[in-house]
Amino acid sequence: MAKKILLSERFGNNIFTRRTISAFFEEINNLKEAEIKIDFSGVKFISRSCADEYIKQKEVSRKKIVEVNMSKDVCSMFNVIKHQYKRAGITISFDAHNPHKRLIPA
Amino acid sequence: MFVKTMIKVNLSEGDNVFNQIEDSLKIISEIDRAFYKREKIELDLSDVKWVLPCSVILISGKLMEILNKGAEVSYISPRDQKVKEWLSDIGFPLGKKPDGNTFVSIKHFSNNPGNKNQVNEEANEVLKKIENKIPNSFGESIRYILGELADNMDEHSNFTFASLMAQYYPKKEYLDMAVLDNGITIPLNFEKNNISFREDSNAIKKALYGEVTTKKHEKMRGYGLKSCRDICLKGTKGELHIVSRNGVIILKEDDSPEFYDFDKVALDGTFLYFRLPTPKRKMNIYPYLEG
Repeated sequence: MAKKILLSERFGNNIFTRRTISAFFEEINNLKEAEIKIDFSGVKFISRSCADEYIKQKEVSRKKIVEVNMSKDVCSMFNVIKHQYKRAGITISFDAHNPHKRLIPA
Repeated sequence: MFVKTMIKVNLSEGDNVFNQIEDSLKIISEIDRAFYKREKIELDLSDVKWVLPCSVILISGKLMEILNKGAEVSYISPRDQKVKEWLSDIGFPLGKKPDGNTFVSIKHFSNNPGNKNQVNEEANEVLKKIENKIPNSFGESIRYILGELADNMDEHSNFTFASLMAQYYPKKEYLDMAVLDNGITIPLNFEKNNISFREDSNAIKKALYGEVTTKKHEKMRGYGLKSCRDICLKGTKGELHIVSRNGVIILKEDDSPEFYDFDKVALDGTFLYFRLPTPKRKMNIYPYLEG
């Protein structure tokens, strides 16, 4: 059974700092559940730095992490990072358009 | 018996940001000298006729720092009634005043190492206050800039105090936003990480243009300041002033960048000042992030 976490309840409508994300992943990596559903409802904005940190942390996490309810703006930021990695010749598996999400206008 | 030192506050009139920054750094140096001699400080603002947010933040940030170390400071208010009222309204120097219709009053906060989410929380609070006071056409630009500055402060500076204020000028149609931290400075951070540079302004330039990062072991770092620069200059056609230790950079969209290194004054920290004209159409920040 997946553990669901509502991100905005923890961090507000805007997520700005890498340390917030790294501390969050430290917490979820210690959870007993193997699958974590991260609900982005209410998150209007994530900074470029945070989106980058999120992708890096997720790449090395052993949990199965699924994102849901990402807004269009949050998806856009993750896509910026993906393009930057691609241009740098680095492959990442993160997909801001995963089929579990519903697009919600910011 | 304590010796009292009177420090005369002289600030250039007009909207030239660099002049007021330079004036403020001279005042901060005098404050520091008096504080380290354990003298009582009297700040004489009586002849001040015009104050920009950059000066407010630089001077009040220093005062907060020394007040927390036990300094005794008194003030002579400006004779100019409008200046006196504005300084009072924005909470000079201690902050803790309500925000106005067009400004976010001075916010000071001290670092709480036990709370990894602290800077995120403070930035969210400030953003909520700013967004109500500016036109929608800024889009996500302010959110983005504030977010990246908050992250830089949190990641790199080891600050103990930080200060911020913002003022929207509806008739002039621009937003001035000032952010100050008393952390280790860009040049010192580079020195600690064996990154070479010529003068301090050269260190700021390297950080601003994404030429180097202190997080060499991590991929895809060094984008934050660069993207803020692009949003400010190319997006809003604004200005950006950065002061860190002895170095100063001034960037304006239509002018060549200006680099200075102060001889006689320096800032124990990093200061960023954005002047962002109101966009005519709702701004889309994403083209400026592709970098």
